[in-house]
Amino acid sequence: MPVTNLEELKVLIVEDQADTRAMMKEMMTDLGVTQIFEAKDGRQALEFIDTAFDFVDMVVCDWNMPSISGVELLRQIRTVDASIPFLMVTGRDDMDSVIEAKSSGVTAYIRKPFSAAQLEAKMRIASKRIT
Amino acid sequence: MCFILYGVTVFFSFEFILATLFLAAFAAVFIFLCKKNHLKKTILVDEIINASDHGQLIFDDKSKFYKCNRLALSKLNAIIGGDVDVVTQPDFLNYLYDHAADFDDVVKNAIMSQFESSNAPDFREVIYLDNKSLCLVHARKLSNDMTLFTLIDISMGRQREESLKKLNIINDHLMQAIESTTTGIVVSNPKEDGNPIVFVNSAFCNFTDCTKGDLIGAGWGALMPMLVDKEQRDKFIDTLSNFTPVELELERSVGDKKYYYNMTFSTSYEDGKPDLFIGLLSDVTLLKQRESEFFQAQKLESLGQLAAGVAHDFNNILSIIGGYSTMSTKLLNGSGNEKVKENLAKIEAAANRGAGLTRKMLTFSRHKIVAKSCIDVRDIVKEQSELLIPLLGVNIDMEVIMPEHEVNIMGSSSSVGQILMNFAINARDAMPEGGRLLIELSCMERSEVPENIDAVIGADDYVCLSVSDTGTGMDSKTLEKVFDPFFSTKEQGKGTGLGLSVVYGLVNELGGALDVVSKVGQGTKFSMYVPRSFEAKTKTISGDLKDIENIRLDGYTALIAEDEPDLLNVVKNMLEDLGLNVLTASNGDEALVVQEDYIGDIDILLTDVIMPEMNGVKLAELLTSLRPETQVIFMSGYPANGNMAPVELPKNATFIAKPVDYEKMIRVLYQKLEGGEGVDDNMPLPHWETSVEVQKGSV
Repeated sequence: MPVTNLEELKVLIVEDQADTRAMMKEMMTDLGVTQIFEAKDGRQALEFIDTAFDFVDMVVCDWNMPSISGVELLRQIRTVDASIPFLMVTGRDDMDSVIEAKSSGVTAYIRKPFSAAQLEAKMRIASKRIT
Repeated sequence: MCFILYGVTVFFSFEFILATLFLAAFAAVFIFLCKKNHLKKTILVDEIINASDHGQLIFDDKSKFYKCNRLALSKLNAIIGGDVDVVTQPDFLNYLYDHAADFDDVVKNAIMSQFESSNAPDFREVIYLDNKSLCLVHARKLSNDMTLFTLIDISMGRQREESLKKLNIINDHLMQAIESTTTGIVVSNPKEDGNPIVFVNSAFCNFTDCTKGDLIGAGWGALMPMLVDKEQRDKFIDTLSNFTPVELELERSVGDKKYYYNMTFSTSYEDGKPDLFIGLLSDVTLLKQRESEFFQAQKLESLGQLAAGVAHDFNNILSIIGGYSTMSTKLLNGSGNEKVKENLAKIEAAANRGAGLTRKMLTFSRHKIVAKSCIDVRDIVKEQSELLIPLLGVNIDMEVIMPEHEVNIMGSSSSVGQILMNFAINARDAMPEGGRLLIELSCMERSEVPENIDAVIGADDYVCLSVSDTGTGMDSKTLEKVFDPFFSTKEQGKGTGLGLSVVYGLVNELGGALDVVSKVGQGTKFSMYVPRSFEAKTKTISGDLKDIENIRLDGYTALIAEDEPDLLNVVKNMLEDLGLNVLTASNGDEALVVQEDYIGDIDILLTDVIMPEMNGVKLAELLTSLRPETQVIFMSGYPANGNMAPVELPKNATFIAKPVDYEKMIRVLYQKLEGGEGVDDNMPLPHWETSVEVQKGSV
């Protein structure tokens, strides 16, 4: 069941840049999200998913990360859960990147830099949209 | 008597017999010698006719075979197809008549006349003896009773003649091909002093602007001035003296146009000595142009990749700066120092500017997802030229020339707007002392478009948008770099050097091409050529407010968010009646998803203010954060503002009270889509958020 209320949403942020991660967390807190988990890279995200995947309603993940990219992480998550909302954070919005992300099963994507309103809109879209 | 008798007896018996014997012997020797001589002569004649290269046949006056040589025999055997003893043929002529292909009555009669008349003239006729070998039959009287037939095989000669004819035809064809090719061909003779030119084709003449008469027999002087530099000239002189193969670069100007050529020289040798010196000249103007375009594209691509990398990190930083300033502003809401708020707003604005810059950096390296629709460029020119007036200042006179009819292309208004704005700002900056700026919009046929542009686009009809100034102009060096990213002639800090490279990317996205003409001191003209579209304009407003019933808003897209299904249907029908494309959603979240899945423009968001979960004001805020160009109209049964309002509407919001009045709805939509300039009877209609961005100093 998709969670419609952002306050009830349990979000996993995957972002290698500590300051960006902290900022996203703060932004989400401002939006009323209370349960936020963080992973500093794809590996940590996968570990988290292995142990506590059921606790997460949405993954907000940076595209461009060392070792395991956002798309790679998405592919691996999709083998476990085909429908969990996955919001890709990207600096790119070219056709090729979007097609790549969509074909990997991304629920929505948001372009950096983004405002709180844009993040809220995209999180709402991701939580509502059926992949 | 006896004596006499004796004497006679003796005489007759001895001397007489002796004498007779002697005489007989003499006669015999004479005859023998004569015969031997005759035989000798006969053998000699046989040898002579045998030695002949032609078949020789001798007949007597009864057309009876007398003598022939071996060649004639073998020829006759070949004709007849077997060993035929011609000697046994009583009437050889008739025999031949039956076997030779061309031996008709006319020929036969002519030959017969040789036998019948002693003074018949010589007979000559070419006949096919056996359908293959051609034979010239030459008959002449040797004496009254002897006729000599000479059979001369002319098959080889005739074959040679035929081959020569064929060769001539091939030669003619080759010459035609050589004359019609666009490659210039020149051949000279290195065996003669001065290596004179012995052949040129028309293409070479055209290139040198000389006639064949001028060039043939002459030296190579005509080419020298066209060699691009000293290095090429030295190479050419070198090859003329030692005939080594070489490749040369040449160019020439015809009017304003420059043509580039490539010339290769090669030498053919006979007995180790140069025999022919051959030059091939091809026009490489188009190739050069393609090369430079390819180079430009590659340069842009690699720079784009670099920029994309930088932009990614930069975007992260901007996210943090912008994000924290927004959150801090929120924290300060209602309290705190106004100055701090102001400063935070400035930080946020700067972060946004930075985000704009990174977006620009990315534009020329990728294909952005731009929804293309059929647009009338005149609308954009009109809109942008109004925005330009304050930007250009008082010293610049602006003139706009455009046709009365529609000038449609497939593209996005924002791209064309940005292109025009960049052109105009460049023009303004090229005229610091003021001047004249001319914006021209026109439709062109293929023949009117510069060749190099047409070669890239290849459309039948074009739209040309050009901006010319009377400013400082550019030299050729600047002109070469004008579309390079980060190239700017402006003072440090005044230009990013990205404007025209962004234009380059945008024009590419429109499937068009750019042309720039500039002369130092006279000014510059930037032109954009885009394929013309003959589709009807996708978005059209027709009619006016005086006649509301006839207003049409074809091709626009509206998203309606309304939780009351019946009302949603009513409004949907209303809008569809006006020609709008309508998307619907029963709540805020659904509206967000609907817009996410829709690739085209959404021109209007028509939202109920009070909805479960997310109210209309929140929806408007979130949707316009994703689609800043979307205009918002609120609908509510409650008062818009004041104590009675359950939700405070933003300042300057457009509001329609429920129950929705059809006429009022049309009026509001019309004004919003027209640009919001009109004023509604009941309320002012300023923008929710301005949809037109003027990027100052973007070049």
